[in-house]
Amino acid sequence: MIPSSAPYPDAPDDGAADAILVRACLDGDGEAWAAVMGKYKRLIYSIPIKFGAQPDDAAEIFQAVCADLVAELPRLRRHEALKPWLMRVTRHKTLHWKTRSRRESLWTQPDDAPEHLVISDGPGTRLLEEVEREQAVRQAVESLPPRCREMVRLLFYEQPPLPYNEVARRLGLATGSIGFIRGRCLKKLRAQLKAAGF
Amino acid sequence: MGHFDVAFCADFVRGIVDADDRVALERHIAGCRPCAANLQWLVELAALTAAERQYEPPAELLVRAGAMFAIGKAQGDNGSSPDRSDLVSSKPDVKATGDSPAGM
Repeated sequence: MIPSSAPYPDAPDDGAADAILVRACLDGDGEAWAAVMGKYKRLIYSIPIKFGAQPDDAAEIFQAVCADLVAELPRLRRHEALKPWLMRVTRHKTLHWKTRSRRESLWTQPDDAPEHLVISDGPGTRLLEEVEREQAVRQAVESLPPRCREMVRLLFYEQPPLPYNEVARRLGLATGSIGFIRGRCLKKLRAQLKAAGF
Repeated sequence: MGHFDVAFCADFVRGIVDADDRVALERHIAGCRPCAANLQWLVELAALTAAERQYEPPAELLVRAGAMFAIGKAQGDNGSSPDRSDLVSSKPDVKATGDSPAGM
């Protein structure tokens, strides 16, 4: 994760923030590149995983997408459209991998694609909608004040759910103050998600 | 009856409210749109965050990505375009394909 003090903190998905990052990358700014990776690493990696790739294959696809991004940066025309570009390229590489995998297993395994991967108007359309919503949640969480961000992470990203005394301990808060703070943080998160179209 | 607050709804979604409170909320939302809406976005939030851990790429991939960027920058500084063959250790099937940025 990019520290909040970094010059390119994660920001809501307004496109303009991505355009700034892309321009900085083109200027050779390594921190901007790290910010791009911090913002989109899970989006990129999640696509092959959702299509059933094992970690080794997902890693290959991740690296290939990164290589394409480095190589194509100077030719990107719409810097604000970084996210759809990443999704398109990652999907392309994932489908390529999937096609090869199916060919290789054609004679040994039935097609066991989960129902939610069934194609409607494009390969994995429903899945990519899920990817977009997950990314919207990540960016909404990142846009919260640091303590709220950590609170939401502890509440929703930890499995099994943490008891409140543990949440309080990790945040350095009194257990009794958790109730008020979590309510306030959740309202802020909801406002961010509403702005993102939830 | 008043509304259930968002924090209580979050506890419901996280499965940490007791059975009586659970039943009370389930009955309440059947006739209360604001609370049903509160619950709905929290349910989706929980669903979307549940698998997050498995989407975290290994740290070494980010190190390699940083190295790719450094190579691309060095090539750019020399006046040439980044060369994919220098950037990726490839399997033939998923190596960089040169997807056109057209439409971006």
